[in-house]
Amino acid sequence: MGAPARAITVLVRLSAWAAGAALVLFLVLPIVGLVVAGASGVPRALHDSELVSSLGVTFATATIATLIATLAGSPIAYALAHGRFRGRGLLASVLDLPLLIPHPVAGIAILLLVSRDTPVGDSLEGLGLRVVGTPAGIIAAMLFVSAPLYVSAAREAFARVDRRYEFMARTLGDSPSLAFQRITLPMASRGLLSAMTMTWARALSEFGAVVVLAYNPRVVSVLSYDRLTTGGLRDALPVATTLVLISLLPLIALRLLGRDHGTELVG
Amino acid sequence: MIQCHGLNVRAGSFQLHDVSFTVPEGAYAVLTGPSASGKTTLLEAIAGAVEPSSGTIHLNGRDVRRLPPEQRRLGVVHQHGYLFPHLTVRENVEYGAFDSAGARELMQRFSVYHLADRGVVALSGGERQIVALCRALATRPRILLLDEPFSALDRPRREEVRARAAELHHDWQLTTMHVTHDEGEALAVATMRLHMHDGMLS
Repeated sequence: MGAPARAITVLVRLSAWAAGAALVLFLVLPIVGLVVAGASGVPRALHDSELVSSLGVTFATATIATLIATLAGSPIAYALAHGRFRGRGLLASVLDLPLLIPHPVAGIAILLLVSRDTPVGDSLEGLGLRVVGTPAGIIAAMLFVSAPLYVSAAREAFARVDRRYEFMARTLGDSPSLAFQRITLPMASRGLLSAMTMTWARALSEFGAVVVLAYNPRVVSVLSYDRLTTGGLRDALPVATTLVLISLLPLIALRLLGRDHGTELVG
Repeated sequence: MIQCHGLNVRAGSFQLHDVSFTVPEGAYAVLTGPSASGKTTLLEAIAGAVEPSSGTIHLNGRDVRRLPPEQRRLGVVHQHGYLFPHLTVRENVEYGAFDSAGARELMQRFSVYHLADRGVVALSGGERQIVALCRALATRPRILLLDEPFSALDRPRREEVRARAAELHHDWQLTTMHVTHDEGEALAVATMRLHMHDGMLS
């Protein structure tokens, strides 16, 4: 390689590194800046009864949305990973659709479906279930934006388990459901836990769809917005910092789950 | 006894054409043939992993085309073992075992009992194959399907394992179908030979 070519290679490499470093800084700096500016207010914020109550609502609704996504999404994820049926590709695309819609628009779409004077809204009211302006609305909004993530990640987790393991279990006497419980589920468990953590994190931080469906009771993201619009940056900062610190929990959990991927239970 | 008649199997772009043969009860059939000739597909069709498009499969006189793998009463050993990685060696061997004493006896017979409480992830390829053989035998199958079961073993260990497997084959009157590339192995154990080429028996 001649000197000019070597110089071009070095230049390209340096540019790539510089672009990457700039992106990392762009992504990390605002968050670090927020935590640095707001950290001192966090202990006081934890005595703020509105924030504590909001944290309770956020954790509870995000957890319920995650459990629903797990229970309802796992069979679909398994079918998408291993099933051979007509319309599989279409089903996968349809399930990805909520990821492409702006979240306030997702909120409006659910609102249209479940508000009063609609057949679904009337039926739910008949069952004593009000969605708009209730925790059920928060759960619906969280589920809508996070369940596709669960299905996609769980599908990957199931797809990583070679079907021959399940087949071997069947030659050893297991029915299909027993082979799933004894072999596929434990082998995919780490990936499924990771999918649940991601889903929970996504639900926890949802704002756009939630604010349309249920401004009250306020989840933490809505509370931080509310504080910003009513009290300004100074009031919003402790709440926003608390939300960022809480969001680190699933990130740490994901790191721990992924730490020993070298010994992933998939052969 | 394994009887296949007019068997046609389509597996992806690969196809078995009009495969017919009989392996008598207690026989040791060795199936040879070049790579991608359909040997594994044939075993998978017998085991119930793939469904034939036409033809019949009888195991010990019973038509098994509509039977799921768990009701075919056969043991399967794949060259990769497919041991369950979240279980120990003992748990793998006892997975579908007739009884745990039998599973233990098999591990002792094939000299892997000292590995019983280990996880399977750390086993060598050869150890995995032996444990997979024990796991299949522990169910007390009447028919054994072996797909390159000893390929990861070094020669002395392979001969030792083969000799012990042959003893069991004789004692239990197992009907065995064994896929191998190793001509020496075929000559050593076969009571009948089958050769497959391009999806057909020749």
